Amino acid sequence: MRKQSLLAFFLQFAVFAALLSAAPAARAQLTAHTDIDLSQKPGDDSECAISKNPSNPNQLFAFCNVTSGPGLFAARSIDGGVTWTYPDPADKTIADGDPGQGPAACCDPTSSWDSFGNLYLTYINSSINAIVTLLSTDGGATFTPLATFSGSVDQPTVVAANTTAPGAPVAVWIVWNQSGQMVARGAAVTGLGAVGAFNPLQTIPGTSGCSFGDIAIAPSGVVVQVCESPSGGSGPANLLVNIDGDGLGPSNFGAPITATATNVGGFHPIPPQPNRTVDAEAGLAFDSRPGSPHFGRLYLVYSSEPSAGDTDIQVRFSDNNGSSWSAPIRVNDDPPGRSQFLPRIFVDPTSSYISVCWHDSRNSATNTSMEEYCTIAPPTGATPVFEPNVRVGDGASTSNGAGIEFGDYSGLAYVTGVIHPAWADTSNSTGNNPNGTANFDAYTDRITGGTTAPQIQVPNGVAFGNICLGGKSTGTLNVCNTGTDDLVITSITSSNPQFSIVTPSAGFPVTVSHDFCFPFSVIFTPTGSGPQTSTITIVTNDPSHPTVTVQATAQVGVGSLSLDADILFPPTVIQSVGSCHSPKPLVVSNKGTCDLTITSIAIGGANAGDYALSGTPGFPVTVEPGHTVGEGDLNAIFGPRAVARERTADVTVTFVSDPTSGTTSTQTAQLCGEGVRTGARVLVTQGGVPMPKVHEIELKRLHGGWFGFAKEVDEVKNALLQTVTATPGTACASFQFHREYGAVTDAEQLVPGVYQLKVEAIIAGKEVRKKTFFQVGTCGFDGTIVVDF
Amino acid sequence: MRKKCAIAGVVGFIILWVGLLPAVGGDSLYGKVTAVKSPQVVVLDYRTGHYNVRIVGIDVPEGPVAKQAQQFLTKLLLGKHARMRLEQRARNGDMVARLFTDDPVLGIKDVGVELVRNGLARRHEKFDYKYGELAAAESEAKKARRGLWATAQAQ
Repeated sequence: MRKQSLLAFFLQFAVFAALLSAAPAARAQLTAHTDIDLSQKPGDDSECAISKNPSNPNQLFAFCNVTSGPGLFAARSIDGGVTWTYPDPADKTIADGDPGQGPAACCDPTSSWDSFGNLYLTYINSSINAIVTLLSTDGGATFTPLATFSGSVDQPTVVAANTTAPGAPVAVWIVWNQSGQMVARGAAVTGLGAVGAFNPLQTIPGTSGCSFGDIAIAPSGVVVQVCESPSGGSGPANLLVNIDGDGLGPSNFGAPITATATNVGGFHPIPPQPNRTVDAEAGLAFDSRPGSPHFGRLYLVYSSEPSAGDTDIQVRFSDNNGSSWSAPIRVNDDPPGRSQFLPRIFVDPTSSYISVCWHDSRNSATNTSMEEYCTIAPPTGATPVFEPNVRVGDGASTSNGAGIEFGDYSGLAYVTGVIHPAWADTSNSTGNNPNGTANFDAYTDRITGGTTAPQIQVPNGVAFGNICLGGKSTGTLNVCNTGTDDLVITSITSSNPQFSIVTPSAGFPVTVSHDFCFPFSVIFTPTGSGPQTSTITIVTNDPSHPTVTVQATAQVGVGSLSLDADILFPPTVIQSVGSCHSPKPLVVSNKGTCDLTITSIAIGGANAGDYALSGTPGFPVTVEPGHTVGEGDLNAIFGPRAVARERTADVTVTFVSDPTSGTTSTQTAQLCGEGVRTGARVLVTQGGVPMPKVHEIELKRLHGGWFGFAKEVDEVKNALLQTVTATPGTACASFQFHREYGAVTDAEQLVPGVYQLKVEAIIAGKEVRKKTFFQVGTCGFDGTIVVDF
Repeated sequence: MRKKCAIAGVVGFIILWVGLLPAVGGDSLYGKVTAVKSPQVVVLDYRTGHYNVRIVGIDVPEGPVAKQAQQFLTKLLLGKHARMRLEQRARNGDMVARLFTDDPVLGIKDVGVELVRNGLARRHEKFDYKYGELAAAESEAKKARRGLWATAQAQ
């Protein structure tokens, strides 16, 4: 008996332990921070949409109506909503006629952010005859027009969500009222910036006179819309739901289903907003987290009015995509008598917690001022149980009685356990509303609550781009925690030793709290050229993804030496005759993508003494890509010391071929020149072809210059064609001639002066002759005299 | 005299409620115009009810132009679909709103702007839409000497 009791105890303990492990972690009460005045601008700012990037919880975007000028107020955050900046800091608005910010807007902003990072911004254009949608793929910094749908339009809502539908990993849908009926269009999204064409306009059946709608996308791709009918009058009204069972498929939405009735009609005056009035402000949200106890459950929020002036916030849910609905759950927990209005609902895709925020007048004795309130409910149990309501607005706001008061709606985003409501506020609780309490500014707050396991998110790999061999570069690897429990990073390793992760000063493990990213430094030290990659492996306590790999990439460049081809110099008079030199550019350049270090340029070879360099820089010299050594001043100079056909040498360039080790390499070019005395060389051709034999060549020097008398210097008969063949492997060239003066075959030097050359040839049995003149200078040798018959 | 004072009072009342800031429009209602009650007020029927819709931001003075304005409204709207974008509710229950046609031929036109453009109404001083549409329309009407601006003395 005692043994049985012990066994029973252990069994009970095991069951309890199992239950504990299966239950969600204990949740914390909502914790609000200090309110933030997003707009801080003159006039009334209201009807805010706010969106959070589900793949990078640091990114948020707020988008509101303005009265102080054209366009729509726009602000963005890259630190999870702690601080905010403006895409256009000059006027804090977009869609205001400024170039690149979308067609000019009237009003009714709405936004949504998909898991690829696409941010959709939808609004009514300035002519109030079209719905405009912009796309931002850089976190709300810049925008491109995505779609424009014309008609008599009102109150668009854009929603994007992941789906399992074929070809649509993400679907984006827009619903609005057009010519009195609800209409919708959707598109498949396959990547960042890859938004497909919107499907044809679907006029939603049975929605004539129905408006102020919302739309939600089920994980399966099924689409559900809700609207209020009739949209006119102060109530009662019905909230109608239509279901598009094939989502982006060809079928239309089905017939309307009455989800609930409400006494809050489309234009329902309440004490806090008596002039502008409110509608029931129905909103939809799916639980889209696989693994949630209620994966696929659809929630509906709306306003009801059990007694005059006492509006409440109600939530119903549906486990069949809206075909039938649960009984209402009253969300606000105050005693009857005060107004709650303009509710918003959002289900955290990382935890399935349900968040509802609204305007609440419970603390206003006259039921005329409001404070922003929020609550959450865990996704457990058969029916949501909302936590005690928490006042998140730091001050009470009262309508200024003009303009659009609090507006027709407010904004809400809830991802990774942080709630971001956005509302119109006149409390000036932040002290920086430029109108004090006279006009509305757009306010927000960060409210933490809801739990989930740690969840790793690595937005990007590390791309170093072009790096030079021998250099070093540091990149950042952001490892984010999109869960709400701490993410513990055990290790980060690299498969390629050229990429190394800098261990934080406190070492591993590194703990990242929810909604934050840790920027690890990755150092790339290339040891080889060309493309380099590494697989970086991150090990964490994320139960779903304990090991995550990302790629680090780099393209390693080097300097590349380019040395001109071998250099052939013209025949040059030897030094014993005169200080005669022939310079030729020596082009040593860097054709690579990185700096090149040249350590020396030197002349060697058989007749190195005949050559010299000019314009050399001090070595070592660094040559930038695309540049040359000496930038055009570097020359090789030939000054032969002996009469010879081929006076050869070479020039050798030594450069650093491996910057990491300092290893050098060389490239060599050949130099060749002919050493001569002052003189000339004659080639006789017939029709351009060298003649085998020339009857007579006579050379006379003109004493007294060009107009002096001639005195014969040389006469040769039957001069044969002579061929000089260059030595292979040298820079020397082959050539032909019939007679030369001052060179190898006739070393007689022509003294400087003017010469007459007479050539007689036998052509077709007849003797023909030609005369030509040339001048020889102090260093002159004309090797190009050609007499053609 | 008594009538003029009453009209001035109504106009002042509307200005007071609408304020002097640019209008942005809000919740709208789509329906059919079943009556034109005055040069500025029409009845919009939304099937289960109706509203008196007063066009925001304009003033139609008494006289022959008022008659023309009412005829203009009648031709433009009576028996046709229209959308009103609510700016405010007047204390008498009227919806002070921008009013838009949704006509297969005319397309979508801002009725207030069209009245002012044709010289059949003035815009309220210091009031305009976001992009100055009423001022632009009034300037066009003055330049073309339409309606109210047909004579040099007109102001």
